[in-house]
Amino acid sequence: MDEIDDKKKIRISRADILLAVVLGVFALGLFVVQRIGSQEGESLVISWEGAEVERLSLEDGYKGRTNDGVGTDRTRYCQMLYSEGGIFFRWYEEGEEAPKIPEGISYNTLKLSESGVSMEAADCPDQICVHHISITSGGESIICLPHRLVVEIQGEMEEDGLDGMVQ
Amino acid sequence: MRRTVELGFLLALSLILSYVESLIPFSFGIPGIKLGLPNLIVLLLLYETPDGGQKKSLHLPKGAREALLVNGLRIVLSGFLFSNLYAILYALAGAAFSFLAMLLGRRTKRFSMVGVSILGGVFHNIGQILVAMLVVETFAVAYYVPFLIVAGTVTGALLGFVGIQLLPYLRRDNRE
Repeated sequence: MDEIDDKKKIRISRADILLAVVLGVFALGLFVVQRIGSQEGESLVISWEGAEVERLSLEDGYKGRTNDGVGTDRTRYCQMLYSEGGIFFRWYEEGEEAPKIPEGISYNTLKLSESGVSMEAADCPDQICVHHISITSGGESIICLPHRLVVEIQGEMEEDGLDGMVQ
Repeated sequence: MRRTVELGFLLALSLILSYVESLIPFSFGIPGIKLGLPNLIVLLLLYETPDGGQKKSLHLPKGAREALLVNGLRIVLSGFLFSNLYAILYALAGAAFSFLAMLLGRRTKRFSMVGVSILGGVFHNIGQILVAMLVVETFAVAYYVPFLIVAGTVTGALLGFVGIQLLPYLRRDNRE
């Protein structure tokens, strides 16, 4: 099949089809396993450079709650600024004017709305995080590789996982 | 000398394919999904000479060496032209995985260009996921794996079909 002359066309081999089917089944299996394992999002975890820097409760929906426990009805935005080797958070709500980003400072702006969590803006070179679809359920994440930022929705992290699934 | 010119042409062609690909918004909101058009050149070079390499031998056949050269240069050049140093590293990681998988797939002599191209597409994505895991130090990206396997299979198969159509022209050209 391989060492052909030009008159004979290369044909798709049986191994090709088998490969495609095996990969498809494997991907589907993996997807199903992930779905079964995933739960309603309990909290939104923001990690930077491999360490968790913020954890928000999603009990009242995707708009989240700040650490002081204040909830809101409006869409919320979170600016994350990277400066002097650290990360800083600035929150504002829909309708408010966005705080100005100082010149020369890298940032990501997260949007927490009714329909989920998404990246509203960022100054990273690839903009992959900004084009990412909104995340809604446990295990899903948005990653900004250039800024080494991970925004992840986590399900309940209890030992007895069954309770979380039944609810 | 003639071969140098031909490889130069193929390098130029793969650069154009890189550029065309950067213009097509084809991501479906999931990072890492792309057509992989430049891989067509790698695929064609791997198949241009009938020598697919021997099993259990470390010797790289001529087509594989040329493919490695053209693709390496393509990534560095397109990286500096259209993106940044950072993207070059990701592209190189994906390309290394993809190339190794295609080389081994070709050596088994069981797959056609379609199967080898599927292997290339899937392993390109797996290579990039692994690098992403290292960079952000998280397993959260594992969530994408099923989507990227399916995407790699579909785009790989499409490129393989195109490759089958193009290969006879490339081979005929070299005989004259």
